[in-house]
Amino acid sequence: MLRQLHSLPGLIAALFVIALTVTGAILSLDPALERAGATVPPTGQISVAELAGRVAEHYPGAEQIERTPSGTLIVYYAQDGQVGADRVDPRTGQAIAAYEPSSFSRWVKNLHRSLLLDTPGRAVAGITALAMMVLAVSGALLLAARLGGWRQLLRPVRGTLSQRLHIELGRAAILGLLLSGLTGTYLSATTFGLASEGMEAEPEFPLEVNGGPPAAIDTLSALKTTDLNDLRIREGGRDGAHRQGLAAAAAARHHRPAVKPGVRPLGQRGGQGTRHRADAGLYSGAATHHCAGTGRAGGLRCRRAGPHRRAALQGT
Amino acid sequence: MKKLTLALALGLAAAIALPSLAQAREVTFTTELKNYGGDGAYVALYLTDANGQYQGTLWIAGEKSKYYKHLRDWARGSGQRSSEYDGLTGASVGSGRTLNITLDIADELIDTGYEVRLDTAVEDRRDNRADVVVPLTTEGAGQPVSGRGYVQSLHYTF
Repeated sequence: MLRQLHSLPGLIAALFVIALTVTGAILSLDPALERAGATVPPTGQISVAELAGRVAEHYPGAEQIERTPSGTLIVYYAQDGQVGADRVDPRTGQAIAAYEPSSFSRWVKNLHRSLLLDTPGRAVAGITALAMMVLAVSGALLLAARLGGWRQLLRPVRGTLSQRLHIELGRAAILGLLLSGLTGTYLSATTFGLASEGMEAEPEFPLEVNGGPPAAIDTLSALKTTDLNDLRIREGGRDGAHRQGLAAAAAARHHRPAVKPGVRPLGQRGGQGTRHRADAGLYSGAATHHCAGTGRAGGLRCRRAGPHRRAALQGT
Repeated sequence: MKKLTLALALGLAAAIALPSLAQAREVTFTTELKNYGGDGAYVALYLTDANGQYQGTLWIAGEKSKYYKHLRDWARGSGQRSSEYDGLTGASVGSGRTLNITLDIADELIDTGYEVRLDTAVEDRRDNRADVVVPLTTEGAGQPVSGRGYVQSLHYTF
C-alpha cells in the first residue's frame, strides 16, 4: 500500500512536479544574481540619511526609496508629469538604470506558481506541492522499510541502476523537498484563503503632522543612526522559507492604511524649494518614532511627496 | 490575471450613493494601457470632486481584493469597503490591453466639477496614484487624456 502511495502520485503528478521543480530551481538563482549585480556598501559606511540626501539631490520628485532584500536600491519618483522607478547607486544617489524587472524571470515565476494559467493553475500548483510532500514522506518510509530501520537510512543501497539513482538522489534531496513542499502548500493555502497570512506589522502612515518648516531629510536623527543595510521591509517569513531564506523583491510592498476619522489632511508647505519639502513621511519632532528603523518588523520608509501626491492628499 | 478579455462592455447601474437620480446617461470609459511589460494591472476607476475627495467607485479591474490596497488613493477614499465596489469588479487588465466600461451615471455628476480618476498597480512594479485625472464634462467627451504611469490614454463617450 505504501508502494502505491508513492508510485501513483509520482506517476500522475510527475509532469507537474518536474515543471515546478525545474522552474523553482531557476527562480532560486534570482536572489543571488540580483545580489551580484547590486553594490552593497559595508555595514556602517552609509546611513539612510546620507543616502536620502544624495537621492534628494538627483531626484527632486522622489516619492519613495526602496531597498530590496538583495540590496538593490530603487527610487520611485515623479518627474515632468511622468512617473518612474530607477535603480540607484548607494554611494552617489545617481541612477544606474531604469528599474525593469526581467520579463524572463516573471514568465518563469508565473509558470512556477500557476503554470501560466491564473487561478486554476495555482490550484494545480498547490496540489502538486501537496503531492511532493506525500512523495517525500512515503519515499522515506519505503526506504526505511527497504533498509531495515531508520538507523540504516544512510547505508549503501543495492539494486538496479535506476533504483540506486532514485534512492541516492532522493535521500540527498528529501529535506529540501519537504521544506519546499511544505512551504509551497502553505503559500498556496494562503492564496486561496485557507490559511492566514499573518499580520503585516508596518508602522501607521501618519496623515497629520504638526506644522512647522520641514527639515532636510539628511538631518533627521533616526535616519542618521540607521545603517543602509538595515533598511528593509519585512513581510511574513513564509516567503523566505520557501526560497530558503531569500526573500523576494515582491515582498517589499508598502502599505498605506485607510484614513482614520478625525485626521486632518496636510496643507501645502510653501516655498523652501523642493529639497526641503516634506510630506507625511518626513517630519521632525514628535513623530520621528515612526521612522525609527530597527530592521525588525516595521522597517523604515522615507517618502517625499511630488506635486501629484500633494494634490491627492488635499481635501480628504 | 494574465489572460484578459479585450473589451468588457457592460451596462451597469453605477452604485454611487448620492441623492436619487432623476436622469442618468450611459457613459463608456475606454482605458488603453501601455506595453509596460508586467503582469495584469489592477485599475481603479472612481469619481472624486474637484478637490480630489473620493465620491464613488465606477469600476475595479482586478479579482483579488487583498491587492486593492495598492490602488492607494482609491483605497484611502473608499476604505476598501466591499459595499463600495460590490458588483463593480472584473478581471485585471493586461499590458497593452484596453478596458471598456459602460455605466449609467447620473446627470448631476456630469458638468458639475466631478473628476474621473484612475489608480493603477502592477505586481513587482510601482503603484500609481491618480494615473489619469480628467473632469467629467460633456465637452470632454471623446478627448483622450494621457496617463502618467501605465495608462496610455483614457477617454469617455456618452
